[in-house]
Parts: sequence; structure tokens; C-alpha cells
Amino acid sequence: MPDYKLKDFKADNIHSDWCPGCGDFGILSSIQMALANLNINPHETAIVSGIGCSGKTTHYINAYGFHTLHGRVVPHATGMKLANHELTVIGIGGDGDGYGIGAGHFVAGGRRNLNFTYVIFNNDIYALTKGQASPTIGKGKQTKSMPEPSMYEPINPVALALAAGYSFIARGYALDVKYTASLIEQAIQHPGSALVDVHQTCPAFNNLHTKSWYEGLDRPERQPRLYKLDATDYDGTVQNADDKDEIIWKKRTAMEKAYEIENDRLPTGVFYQIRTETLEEYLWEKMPALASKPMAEQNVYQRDLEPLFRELE
Amino acid sequence: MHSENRQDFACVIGGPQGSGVNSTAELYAKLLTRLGYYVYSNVEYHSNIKGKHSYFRVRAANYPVRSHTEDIDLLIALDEETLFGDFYKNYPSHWGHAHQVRSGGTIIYDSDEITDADSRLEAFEVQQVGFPFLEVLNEALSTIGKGGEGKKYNIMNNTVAYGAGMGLLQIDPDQVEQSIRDGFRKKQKVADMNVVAARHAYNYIREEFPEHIRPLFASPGLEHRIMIKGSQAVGLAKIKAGCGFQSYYPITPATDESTYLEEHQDQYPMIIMQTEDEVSSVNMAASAAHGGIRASTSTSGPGFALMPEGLGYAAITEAPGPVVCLYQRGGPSTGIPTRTEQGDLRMAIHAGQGDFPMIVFAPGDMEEYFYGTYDIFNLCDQFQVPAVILYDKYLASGFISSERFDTSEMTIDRGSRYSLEAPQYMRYRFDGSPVSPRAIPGEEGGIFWTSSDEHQPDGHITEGVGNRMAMMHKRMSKLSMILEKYPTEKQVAVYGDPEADVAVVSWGSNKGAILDILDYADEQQPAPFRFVQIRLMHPFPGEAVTAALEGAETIICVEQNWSAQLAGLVQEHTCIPIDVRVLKFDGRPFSCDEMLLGLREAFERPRKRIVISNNGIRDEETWGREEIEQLQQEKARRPRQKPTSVPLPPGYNR
Repeated sequence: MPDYKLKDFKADNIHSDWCPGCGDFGILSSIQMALANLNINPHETAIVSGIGCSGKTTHYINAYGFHTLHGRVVPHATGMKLANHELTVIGIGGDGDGYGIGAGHFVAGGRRNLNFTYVIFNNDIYALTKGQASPTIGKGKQTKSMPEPSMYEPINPVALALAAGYSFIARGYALDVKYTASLIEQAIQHPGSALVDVHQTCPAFNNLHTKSWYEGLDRPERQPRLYKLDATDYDGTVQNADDKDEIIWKKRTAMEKAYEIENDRLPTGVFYQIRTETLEEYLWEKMPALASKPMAEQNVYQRDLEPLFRELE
Repeated sequence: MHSENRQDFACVIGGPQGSGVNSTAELYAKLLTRLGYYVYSNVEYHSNIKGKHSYFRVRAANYPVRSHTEDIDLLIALDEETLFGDFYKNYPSHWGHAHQVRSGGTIIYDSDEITDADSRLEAFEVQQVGFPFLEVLNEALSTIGKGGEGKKYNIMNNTVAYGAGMGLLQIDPDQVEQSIRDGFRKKQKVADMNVVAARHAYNYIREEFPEHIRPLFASPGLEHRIMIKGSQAVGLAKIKAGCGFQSYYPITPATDESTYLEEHQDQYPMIIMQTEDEVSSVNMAASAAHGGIRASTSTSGPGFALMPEGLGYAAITEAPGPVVCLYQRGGPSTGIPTRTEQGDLRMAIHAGQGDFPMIVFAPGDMEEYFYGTYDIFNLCDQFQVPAVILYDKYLASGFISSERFDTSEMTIDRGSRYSLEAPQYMRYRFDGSPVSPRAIPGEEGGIFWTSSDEHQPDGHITEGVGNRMAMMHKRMSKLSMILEKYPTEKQVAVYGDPEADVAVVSWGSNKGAILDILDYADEQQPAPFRFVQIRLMHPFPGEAVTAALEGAETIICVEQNWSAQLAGLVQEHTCIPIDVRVLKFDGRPFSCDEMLLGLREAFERPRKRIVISNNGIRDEETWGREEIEQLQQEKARRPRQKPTSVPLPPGYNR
């Protein structure tokens, strides 16, 4: 097994067309770093993205890359993983993609607990269409790109993921590449559906949530809004998945952390994690043949229908 | 449609939904199949769980039949509505089935529930077999120590009626018992009780109504036949084709197929996903196809309406599939969800923004449901395109006796695949062929990118003019290639005399009734005609259809939709005008009698539109309201009481 470096996950002969200074660069590096750190074979990796600036990420990673449709990251990642569960499947989408048009799929993706990683680039706006309000921007907020303030209350991605059933939920920050990479690494290693919501700056359109805003430079005490859960005694990992009380307790504390955003505090790190049966494990129990060989490698082309005809006789 | 040697027998079993109409009909149809008859059945039911009127038509014959008929030889009524309609409602909707029973036919009913049938059926020359279901059931139960518990077990009323019917037809009682045991094979105790009830009713009826015993004509003695419905034939095709992934969102009438596959998952591993919506279904299947397995999704009109984006994605990324199975039902919108229609042809061929290659195929009978579906999986792999297969509720839900499908000649072709030796692999390389070798994620050296955006040979996005032109040409060339490679006789079939002056063009399940007329109408046949069945709808086989229609003086197109969707398509692609459209869009399939009526009218009084409904040629402007009015009048004639005679719909004379 070769020892992969970050550069091995850079696609050749392709120029990024993101704006200079875009937070996307940070997240891209985090993903590549995580894959290199885990020493995963590029050809055994599938990156599945939606539409928007984030969607272009697939093209910049040296791995099988599927730049799919707006909002449909979860269905595509699911189909890919079920065809071949030996692949490392990473879904990539924006906040409008995942929490807006794809919200129904986002919820189902949590329920199914398929073993995949979903990285959401969360910059509060629809950037590629020039900066309209996304589902994560607050009511009354108005970036320079918006003709009027946002009309709706924002979604809380971490809270939504908790309710939907994601078994690994983390929040990263695009400009903290190493830390976000470590979260993505954990997400990839976690067996089950894993969400990494990554707060991201958009220098082109989001003049509200800038690097200096995240760093709290606008506050009198210059206290960063961001802080790491790792640096506190917070522990969101369920130790005993059969203990309902522990699950309720951990979900409640995770929910509290998720809503600190209302108090202008933005914890990053792992909010919640639980090891429960994945969709694949469930299917392997039903169809043991799949446990040793993914569906894509099964020989299903010499099937004898006679037993079925007999049933119908 | 009778001749000396040909005999057939039509039975209708009707009752409220939840009363066992379907299971009884299934037992009966399977029994007839086992006894060696040709069997053709179809079901009509409401979008409702319990209570509303449903019925099964089962036609048995000693010669191959491919459609249903209007007249009834034996009517088994589990309630009054089955006989005399729903006049208890404010807005009655049907006339019941008593008027359809032919002279000399038999009606079995519960004399406890329907006390005045005698007088009402008086004018009809039918054999009335009314007996108290509950009493007979109680007698049966008393033989197993459960006497007097009939009310508790009245769910077995259908079995009582079934046993009685089989007694009148003089079917071997052991075979009747066997049919029940097979039907309830997972529930031994239930089977035992039902056998007792059926046997008792069988003997009872033969003692009490010996004069009404009419032994069923001899069976042609067919052996080893299967009884299958369309959704099962499609399921079998998918299993045989090695389909490894099926997604679906629950919808009538498509779900039966997914359920069938799921029931056999342990024998034939297949990943079956019930998804959050049809958007997810089609997209999941598209990526499963990219991921290396044959993938499919099944739905109906309202679900397909959510799928076009996924088809466009599959086409522009040149995925080998998915195969989208579209079971048509009555639209628009939610429409008449449990009824049949052929209204989704245009939606299917025009699904999606922009121009992209896709296959739309419309099989017309059980064999085509099986062989056609199988073929489409091969075509998707060979041409790296998605496909839509148009089925309809009529064939999907009806049981038909059939030979076992012959699978000996079936071969899988997974199309052009990437191999490691290829230098500098590019997924969409221009190398003369529209189809490039495809790699599958996990394969070493095969890494590629793809995008729903226009892309260059390596899969990265570009908006360059030259690349756009080349890529459009690459993708769209697949259409003519499909027409070239897929055997023409599978695209368009001609039956009857190919030189006949009159050509009848049709598609889908109309095939059965048209062939029955072609083969059996004898002296009733209006004129010799050729029947042109179009199966491949996209890419449209314009040249093959032109050839099939050559020399025809009159062209009649038969469809179950309002706008004559296929007729328009034929005209668009051949510039040959369609003279007559015979249309039915009341949600009910063409019976053989209706088809004959429509064709004869088209031959004798050709005009642009001929509309068929309720076994008649109808003025579409007025007839619907007329029928409603007559139903209301029938109801008004008898305020606050049940009708006292058999209600006769307009146009019925007895």
C-alpha cells in the first residue's frame, strides 16, 4: 500500500474557478488531508457533490468524482455506496443544496445511517447565483448581495442532524484546515452517516460572516465566536448504545451546544456520536452474500428462474 | 366471439374492498390454470382500503385469449352493490353487474343480504342461486366444533361463495381444496377452516340447486403453466437481468413489483430501497448504475413527474441506466389512481430539459413485459443511456395464464468496459463511437470525473463551443445507433395481413383485444386489417413504421388516452396522416367487445375521433352527463328505498 500524501489527492490539469480567498479552498484541503492521513486509495474513493460552488470540489480531488444535481447529494451518495460498499464515499454540498432543496434527502440520509460522510459547505448564501439568502442565514440578516433582508428564521444544521438520526455530527470551520481535516477523518472512520457542517466565508458576497466576524474582531472584548469543543470537557460520544438514558442525555447536551449559536457562540468539533447498526450491516444480515462481496462484484447474471416459475405454477 | 370449438366462460367476483374479492379471484384463476385452461383476468378497485366496490373478471377458455369480455356467465356477488349498483349514495357511480349477466348465466348471492333479488331479476333469464351464506358457514363450522360462530368468521363468506361456485361448475372438489391450501400455505389453520367452509358450500349447493349445475366445458389440458401478473413478469425480468438495485416510493399500481422483488431478496440478492420520494429513487438508481450494478426504479405517473432531472443526469453523465418502470394509471395529477390509462407516453418521451438520449419502450403483453424489460437492461448497458418502460395498470394487476418464459437464449451484455491497459483513460473520449468504455469506481487507473454540467472528455466542466458540439453529437448519435442495433421487429411488429388496406396502429395493453379480434372475430370481423404494434417510442422508429404502414388506405390509431398521443407521434415522425382515432379515457381498459365496436365503427363510419366508454360508442360532449343524469333518475325513482328492478345503464336493452 503506497503512502499517500495530500498531493496525491490533487487532480491534475484542472484549474479551480473559485474566487480568490474563498473558504472552499480550505475545505478542499481538509478533505484531501483527511484522505491522505487515512491513506485511502484514490481509486477506492468516490466524491459525490451537488450543484453550486461547493459542487465543483469533486473536480479538484483525485478520486472518482460525481458532480451531480442540486440537492441530490444524499441519493447519489447512497446509490454509489450501496452498489459498492467497499468505496469510501464522501458527499459534498452547500447549505442551500443540503438544507434547502435537498432537505428531505438530508433527513432521510440521517435515518438510513448509511456509512458515508457528508461535508456541507455552509456560507449562509447561494453564492454561485450571486448571493441570495440560504436556509442558514438568520431572519432580518442582509448581506451586500441581498436586495432585502432574509425573511425566514434559519435552520440549525446540527439540531436538524440530531433529529434526523445522523450518528456522527460535527461542525468545522473552513479556515481551520487541520482541525476540519481531523473532523472529516473521524467522520470517514465512523461507521454510519456522518455530517460535517463546515462554516465557511464567502468573500464575494457574505460581508456579514467574514473571517474577522468569526474571530470576533467586531466585539468590544475581541472574543472569537468560534471555540473548540475539544478544549472543553464536553463529550458527545454515546458509550453504550443500548442505554436509552445516555442517548437522551447526549442528544440534549448536543442540542444545547447546537443552539449556542443563538448566543453568538460557535463551538466546533464533534457534537454527537453513536455506534449503531449501519444500513449496510442491516442488509448484510438480510443477504449474507453481500457481507463478503459488494453488490457490484456479485455474479447475478446467471440466475435460474425455475424456482420462481414453480411458485407461480 | 363463439364458434363451435371455441368455448369461454367469464366469471365476475365482486364485493366491498377487504371482503376477499382479490384472494378468491386469485384462487379461482390459479385453479383454472392448474386445470389446464387459458385464463385471462383483470381487476377493478377503488383507491380505498375497506368498503368500496371492487371486482375481478376471470375469463377461462379452451383457446388462447388475450382480453376480457363484457358478458358474464357467472356472477359471484358478495354484496348487493355488486348486483345492483351504488344507488344508496347521493351521487351514484355505477349500475352493478346484474345487467351484464348473459341469458342463461348464473348469479350467486347471499339471500340474507339481498331479500328481493327474485322479483328484481324476474325479467332476466338468469339462474338465481341465492342462499344464506351465514347459515351455510355456521353449518360448516359446526363440523369442527365452532357451530354458531359464523358471525365471528364471516370473513370467510367469500370462501363460501367460492365453494358454491365451484360446486355449480362441478370442478373436482379435491382441486378446489388444493387451491385453498396453496393460497393459504403460510397459514395452516386458516387454510383448514377455509377448506371446511368451501367443501360444505360445495356440497350444499349441489344438493339444494341441482338444476343449476352447469359443468364447465372440458379444459384443453395445458400443463405446467404459470399464472402471472404483469408486475411479476417485470420482477422476473429484473431478476433474470441481474438487476442489483431497485428503488421505489409507494405508489399504485407500481408497488406490487417492488414487493415481489423484496419477497425474493433472500433467494436473489437485490438491494431494494424504499426512498423518501421519487426524486431520490431515480437519482439513487442512477448512481447505483454508475457504481457498477444494474439499477432500476418503479413508479407511476405522479412519481415519474418528479423524475426527469434524474434522467437528464443519467443521460449527460452517460450512466448505464437506470431502467425506470412507469406503470401508467389514470391522470392527470392524482387522477384515478387505481384505474388504467395510456396517458403518460408524451410525458415519458419529453421528460427533462434539453435534448438527451434515452430509450422509451412500451411492451404490450405478458411476454413482452418479460422479454422486453430484459432487453432494455442490455440496451442501457450497451448505449450508456437511461430508459423508461411504459406498462399499464390493466396488465400489471391482472392474472394471466402463461407458458413459462424461455430463458435459454437470453444473454447479458454489459457493454463496453474500461480495461487497465488503456493508456491515459478518459471517460468520454471522442474515438468515433458515441459509446466510450466505462470504468467503475473502485477500478484501478479508471478514475474519472463526471458532471451534470457539460463536460470535456476527462469529465471536467467546459462551456467551449467545439466541445459542446462534439459532446452533443456523441450523445445524440446513440439514438440512431439504438435504432440500428436493436432488431427492427422488436421495435415495431405487424400482425395480420401486412398488405391489408386498413391498418390499425396501437400500443401497450390494447394488443390483446386487437389480436383477439384479428384471430377470432370470424364473420364479425369488420374488414381484414393489419395490426401495427409500436413498442419502441423513443428513439421513434419512423422508417420502420412508415414501412409497416405502406399502402394502407385507412389508418386507425387505438389508444387509451384523450389526446391520441401515439397518433401525434406517428404523424410527427412519418408525415403519414392518421385517419381515425379510437379512444378510451374513462379509466377502464378496452374489453374485446369494446375494441370490436370501435374498430367496426372506424371501418364503417371513419371520422377523426371515435370515443368508447361503457361498452358503447359515445358522444364525448354529452354522454358522461347523460349517464350521471340517468343514474340520478334511477335513484330518484325510488326515494328512500332500494331499487326494485335491475338498473339498466343507457344503451342496454334486454
